[in-house]
Amino acid sequence: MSQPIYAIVAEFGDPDDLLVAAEKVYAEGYRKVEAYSPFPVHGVAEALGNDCSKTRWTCFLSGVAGGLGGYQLAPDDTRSV
Amino acid sequence: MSAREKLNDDLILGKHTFRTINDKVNNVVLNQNSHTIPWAVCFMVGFMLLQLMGLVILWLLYRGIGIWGVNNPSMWGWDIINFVWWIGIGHAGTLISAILLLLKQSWRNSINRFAEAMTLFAVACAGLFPLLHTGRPYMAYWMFPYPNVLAMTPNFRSPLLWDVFAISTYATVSAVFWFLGLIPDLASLRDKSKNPIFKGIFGALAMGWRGAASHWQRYESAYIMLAGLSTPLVLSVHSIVSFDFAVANLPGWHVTLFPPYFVAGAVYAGFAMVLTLAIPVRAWYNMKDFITMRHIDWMAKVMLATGLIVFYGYLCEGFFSWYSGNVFEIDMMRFRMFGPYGWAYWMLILCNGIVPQFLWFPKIRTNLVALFIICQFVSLGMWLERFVIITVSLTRDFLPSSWGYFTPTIYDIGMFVGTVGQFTFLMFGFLRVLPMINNFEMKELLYRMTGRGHHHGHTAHALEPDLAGHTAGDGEEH
Amino acid sequence: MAQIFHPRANILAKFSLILLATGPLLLLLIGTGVSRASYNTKVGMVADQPVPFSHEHHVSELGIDCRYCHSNVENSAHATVPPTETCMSCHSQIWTNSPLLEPVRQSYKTNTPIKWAQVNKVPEFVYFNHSIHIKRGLNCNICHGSVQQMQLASKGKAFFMVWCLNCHRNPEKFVNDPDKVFSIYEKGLKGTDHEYADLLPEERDILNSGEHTRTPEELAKGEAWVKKFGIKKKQLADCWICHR
Ligand code: HEC
Ligand code: HEC
Ligand code: HEC
Ligand code: HEC
Ligand code: HEC
Repeated sequence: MSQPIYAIVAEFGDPDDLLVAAEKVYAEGYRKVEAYSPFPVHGVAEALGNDCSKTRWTCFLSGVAGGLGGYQLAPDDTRSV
Repeated sequence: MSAREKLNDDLILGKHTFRTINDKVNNVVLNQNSHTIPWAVCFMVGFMLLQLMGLVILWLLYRGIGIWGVNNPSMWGWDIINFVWWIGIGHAGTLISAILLLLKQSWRNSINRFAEAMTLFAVACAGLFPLLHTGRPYMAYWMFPYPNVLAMTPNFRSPLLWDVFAISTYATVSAVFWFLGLIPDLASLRDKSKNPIFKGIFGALAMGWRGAASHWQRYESAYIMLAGLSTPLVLSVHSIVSFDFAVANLPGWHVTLFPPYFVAGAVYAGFAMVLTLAIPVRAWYNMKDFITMRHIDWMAKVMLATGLIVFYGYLCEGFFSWYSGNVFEIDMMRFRMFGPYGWAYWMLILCNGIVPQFLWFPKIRTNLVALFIICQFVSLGMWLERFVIITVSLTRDFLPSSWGYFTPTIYDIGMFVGTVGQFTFLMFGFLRVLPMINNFEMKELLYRMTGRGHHHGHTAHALEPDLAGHTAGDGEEH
Repeated sequence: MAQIFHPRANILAKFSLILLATGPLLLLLIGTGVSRASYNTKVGMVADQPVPFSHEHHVSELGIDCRYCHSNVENSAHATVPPTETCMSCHSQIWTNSPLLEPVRQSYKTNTPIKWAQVNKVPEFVYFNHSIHIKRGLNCNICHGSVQQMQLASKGKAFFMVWCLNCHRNPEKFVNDPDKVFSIYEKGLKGTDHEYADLLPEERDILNSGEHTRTPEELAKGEAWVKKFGIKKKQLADCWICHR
């Protein structure tokens, strides 16, 4: 009986090859894929189907909360002096 | 090579591959032998001056701020001058890291890291002054609005409170921005370091960075957002600092011109400081491939542009005080020029207005010695600018009976020299323990410069010079 | 490359991030709690006194007026703690053998004052004046808690600035008929078994705890008093009133 394959690792010498490979792998239907690079290679994350809309929303909502919180700091004492 | 040729340097010189960039940047941290005598001298001198400041602060806490030269009528003196000066210096870092990022200027890549570090350290120096001027620095938390048993909220109509928020926001955002940018580089150091202790430290700081595509995606979106946050700060922080004066009803201070010209002055002083550091450091650590003459040239040009704005500001001040027809404003200008502090005013005009005009000449911009000297003039000039604004107005207010003369004490000088020491100490400490150049951004820059779909072993050198500076957007579209 | 950290370290990393965000808030909460705790304010804590003098005994049971002992409270800044002579006006006749009173007799004989430990105190940089407050009908208990029930004197209120200001900004919530300041103790005595039967609700609250929230009618009366006294509300919370 052959051993089940857990994972396959491939190394690319050029960022562009990585990008092409990522697109192909995704097109083949693989989803549990990750690409590692020492600097951002634009498009790879998208090619692998990642999107970070959650991060954006979290940031936006935290920003709104922070802004509103900031206004709370101002005194409610509206006496005109 | 003629002067003009140097200006067309690529942003990365020499035959570099991803590996050589990586090794070169990491080597400064990983190979502790790369630090030579200049490093030791700067660090030790900085450290000694820092100790001196420690003594001054101890004495200050014991005796109170009366040991400074501040006294009626000049209740603000060197403390606020130094504060404004240092805060201004920090601005170049934020400008480089935030605004130039949003404008996709690739030339920020090799200078942003230490410019940001400079921002942080400058803010650390600046913050000391108002903190100590409160007299009871351990009560500094009173400056924040928090529910307290005194039923007191700081006065939201006071520019001094705006300062508190501006500076603390600035310090926080700058620190987060800086740290975020460091994470991938810390991971690289973790991976390359041989020493298990350093591996552990870098590893802990890198917080599990693996360089996965999903990491990079989040990283970049967070980085852009922080840049967006920092961009208004570049303008707002020094505007608010200028409100400390502009909101007050004092001749020479009550000027709508202050915010823009303070901001320009801040960037001006900041770039002078970046150059002051970059010129020697790139020579000592042989970083000439990364911080090229082109970088230096552009920084000098930014200095020239902001310098002209500042000079225009001085001219406007003179014009407006005359045009206002207000006797106090006119007299204020007279006192500035011909009063007891006239020497400071004319020095200021020389340092900030005249000397930088040499930067029009490419020969000067590529002459590192000349450039370095001009930067010192600018730093001095920016300090004098605050000195003139603050001391003259305070010692020559509406009532001749309350006029006076401000004289600093040795403790004022000690504090100032001490913060210079602190800055140097922190800066050179930083050079030793963290990568001074943004490692991964340089690799990315190389990738973008060489274009996609080319072969391996790219040499940036082979490119036409023009492409190098202007390919910033290239890698972007996909 | 060997693994430096165990996967569990991830939890630590996340925790440190959360702590970074919540830490300042936590510190604030702790600081808030500690500064208001009686450990810091000494509210309700009795001091070590040379004589275990009981207000409950002398005020509630014997019915002595505050002014018999705190003789200057109506017309000076300080209420004054009574001199030994005041005690001896009775204790030279009654309970002359009580061992508890020995320090009082000693003090009288040697002509040296008793060293009472002061429990209510504002810092030196705060100016406080009793007389104006009594003249504006403020009962002692509003500021000192229900003294007439204390076996041993203790601090009733923390004297935070916010507390002074709470009244100074809205004096109509407290000011009252000056004639009632001392009479309600007397009235309280007549009530059956400390139930203070024929007292108004406000008076009962003041006697019991010093705390009372005024009803709209009471507030209207308070406002009338403010007008009558000519209290300048706008000035009363100015810094120089208390920090001179
Ligand atoms: C108006 C008279 C009067 C005055 C004034 C007075 N006392 Fe008393 N005191 C009494 C009486 C009556 C008692 C006994 C109460 C009882 O136990 O029934 C008493 C009891 C005491 C006791 C308890 C003695 C014991 O052995 O239980 C102490 C202690 C005491 N007084 C202290 C003082 C001090 C101190 C002062 C001065 C600040 C003072 N008193 C002033 C009338 C007075
Ligand atoms: C018989 C005399 C006597 C009478 C009557 C009396 N006191 Fe006192 N009071 C004292 C003495 C003695 C002390 C100091 C010892 C102590 O703190 O217990 C004192 C302390 C106090 C203190 C605390 C002072 C401090 O140390 O800060 C307050 C508050 C006070 N009295 C309020 C009152 C009030 C209110 C009344 C009227 C309801 C009253 N007293 C009636 C004798 C008296
Ligand atoms: C408006 C609040 C307020 C009221 C009402 C008030 N006190 Fe006080 N009392 C204080 C404060 C505040 C102190 C602390 C003063 C200081 O440190 O100088 C104090 C201190 C005292 C002291 C001790 C120190 C001193 O000043 O002699 C006595 C005794 C005292 N009060 C008695 C009384 C009595 C009796 C009454 C009622 C007639 C009364 N107080 C009403 C606020 C009040
Ligand atoms: C329960 C209400 C109340 C509290 C609590 C209170 N005050 Fe007052 N205070 C008044 C009123 C009412 C006046 C009288 C204002 C007037 O008549 O103009 C007054 C007046 C004063 C004055 C002015 C005296 C003068 O000579 O002008 C001072 C000082 C003062 N208070 C200090 C304090 C301090 C300090 C505290 C806190 C430790 C305090 N008060 C707590 C109600 C209060
Ligand atoms: C009604 C009286 C009152 C007024 C009005 C008042 N204060 Fe106070 N203040 C106090 C008291 C009582 C304290 C002491 C609080 C304590 O010990 O916790 C205090 C404490 C302070 C402290 C803390 C000092 C220290 O070193 O702990 C400051 C600061 C202060 N006040 C400022 C102000 C300012 C500013 C104003 C005007 C906006 C003001 N106060 C108005 C009563 C007052």
